[in-house]
Amino acid sequence: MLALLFAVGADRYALSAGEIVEILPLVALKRVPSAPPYLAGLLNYHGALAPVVDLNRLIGETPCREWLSSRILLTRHPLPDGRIELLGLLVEQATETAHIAPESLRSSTAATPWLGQMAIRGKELVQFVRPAGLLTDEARALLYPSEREAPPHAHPGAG
Amino acid sequence: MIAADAEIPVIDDCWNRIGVWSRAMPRCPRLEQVIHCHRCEIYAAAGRGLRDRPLPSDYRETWRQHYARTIPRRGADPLTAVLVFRIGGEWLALPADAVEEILDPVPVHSLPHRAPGAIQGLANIHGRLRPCASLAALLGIEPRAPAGLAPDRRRVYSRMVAIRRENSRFAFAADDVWGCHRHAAADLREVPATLARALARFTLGILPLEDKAVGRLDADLLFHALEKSLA
Repeated sequence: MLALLFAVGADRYALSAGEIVEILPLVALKRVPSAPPYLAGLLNYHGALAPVVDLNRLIGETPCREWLSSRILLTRHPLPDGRIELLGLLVEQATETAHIAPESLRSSTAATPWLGQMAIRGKELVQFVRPAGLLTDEARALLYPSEREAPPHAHPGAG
Repeated sequence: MIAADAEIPVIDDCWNRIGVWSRAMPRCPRLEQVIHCHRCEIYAAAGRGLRDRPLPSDYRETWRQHYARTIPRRGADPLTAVLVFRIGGEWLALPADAVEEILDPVPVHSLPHRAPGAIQGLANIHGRLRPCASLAALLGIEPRAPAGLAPDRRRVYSRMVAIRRENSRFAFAADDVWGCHRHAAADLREVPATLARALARFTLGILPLEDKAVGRLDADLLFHALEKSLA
């Protein structure tokens, strides 16, 4: 399985390449006033609106550094009402992909909904992230308000 | 575009000091394992580390504008990938999912007691025999390229194309293989009445491609006709 490796704090994480729509550079985002700190901003992705969540803020402590190696992983996020919306994940050190053999995966001990299986890669331990479990109900309601049913191109360019 | 020097992490360029780009002796002991610095994880990590630096000043805004552009949508019409090749003077296309492999020309062994027709004989492809078809005979195309077609100084290589649908496997010789192309159903033009009857029967439509008019073949019909001529 092809996976994109990235870092949150000092730990290595991976996201299955099948989950990724596109890997974007750290583009300028439209800030959202009085939003929780993990919301890095809003992205206008070719006319579709995508909230971008700073994974370092969501599951770590410090925000992602504004470095060339920090990138936005655009994923599809299924909502409970059946809609599928874009979700951007801002991560650090997204500079490497790896083929990970499915038989090398171990199930993780943590009961956190967004943590997936673990893989040992050389000397490092890589843990898969399940983006579908990343957002709490509260966060989901905030990022994807249900009244946003207008077609996405009706929104003016973000930023 | 490059950030101020003070912010660039210091790199230990061991590949220049003791690696393959140095004359120093003794060289890095890792080379015994990895042969070349290109294959060394220290070299790879240093390369990835080059991106651990602050963004150039206009970087975020430039990329924001790039992604804010809307892309003209093609609508819901799905694209089909086809392989474009030439038989005699005709450019033809078959769905890419019917094509298994494109090979250098392979000798074709004729079958005894068989009149030459659509099936020319058997070809050995990777140790397995496949019936080899002559699309020129099947589709009624003059086998030789008419004079004057000799294209644009591009070198032309004839190829063997291995095709497969479910369990029926064939091969055919093409005078040239152009490559893959994706088209929507709406890109197909009507088959002109001037097209040879046998060829028109197998053609779904004409696909304009560069300066070529490519006959898009119906794979189902083609496989059916090839199976029939085997019997």
